[in-house]
Amino acid sequence: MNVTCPECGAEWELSGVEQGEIVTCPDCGVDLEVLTTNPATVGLAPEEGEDWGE
Amino acid sequence: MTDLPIVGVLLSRVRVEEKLLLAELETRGVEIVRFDDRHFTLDLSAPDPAMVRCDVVLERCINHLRALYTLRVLNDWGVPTVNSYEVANICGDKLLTSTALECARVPSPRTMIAFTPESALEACEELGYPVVMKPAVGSWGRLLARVNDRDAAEALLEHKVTLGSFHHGAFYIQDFVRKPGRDIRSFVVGDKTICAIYRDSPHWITNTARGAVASNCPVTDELHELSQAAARAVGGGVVAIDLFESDRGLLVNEVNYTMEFRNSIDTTGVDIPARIVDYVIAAGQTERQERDALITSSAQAAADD
Repeated sequence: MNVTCPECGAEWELSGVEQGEIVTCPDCGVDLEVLTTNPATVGLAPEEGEDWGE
Repeated sequence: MTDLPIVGVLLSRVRVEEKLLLAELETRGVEIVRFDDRHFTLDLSAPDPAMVRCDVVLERCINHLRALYTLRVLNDWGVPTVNSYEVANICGDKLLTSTALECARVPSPRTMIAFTPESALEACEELGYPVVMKPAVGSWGRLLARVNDRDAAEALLEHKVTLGSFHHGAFYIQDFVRKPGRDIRSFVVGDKTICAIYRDSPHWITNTARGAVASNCPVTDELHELSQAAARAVGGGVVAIDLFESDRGLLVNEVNYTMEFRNSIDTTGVDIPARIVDYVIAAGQTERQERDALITSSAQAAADD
């Protein structure tokens, strides 16, 4: 499943991921969220919030 | 009808932990229903059929506020959750945790709360420098400040008042505990302390999220008893306890209710997601049996009438 980074346009193959998982673009290093798995699409990951954590 | 419960999983961002938990639930053959906190709405007067159908819901939100409110509504609808709203409420607020530990006589660092910069300064002087200031709500070691003297305290308080959001308006101030370059995190599932790790760091903040290195920590009787006492103080369930080794003995610093454990499985050799899933399934089975028993007794009563 090929995906395209919305930040830098890099294209790479994504496999073994869950919807909602965070992956890193191998080219520009930005955090991306897996929006759908079939077909695979990614979007920019949400910014960390003040109440995020354990 | 299967004995396996229907397990809801409340989440948004899928971290390593959620991935492992979902995989473990799948291997058990339970029906999994995912609820993404970014997409659902909660009508307080109309319980969501998909949610109330669950025998138990495992909360794995990354946002404290979303977790807290959703747990409250689910519990009000009669849906058991791991953890409960009460546990999330206490653990999500350091002041509520500290006072719960104090009430249960669980040894913890001396803590004071103040509501104005002036009274906060008095609290700092009362505790004696250095002190630690933390936001009452927050995680991953963010915005923790070691305050070494009055000058630093005045500057930090002015910054908090000027730049901080509303919950920086309550000043949570704690004794700085001189620990031996590490702290301990123990993992409690129900009445078991399943494992523990040391978190070593040259920095005084020893969160693994801040680069601390994990290694196995044997679960001694003392560690187990203190971990259990801390877990009970906040309401029990599945929690991770942060402890300091100090000249007063072990002190409980924090209790976490949506624990992260990715660095602790290989380190301890304990299958943490499997132990959590055991607990969740048992909770779901208990709920299902109680519900079935209620239906049977109601039907029997109707037949007797």
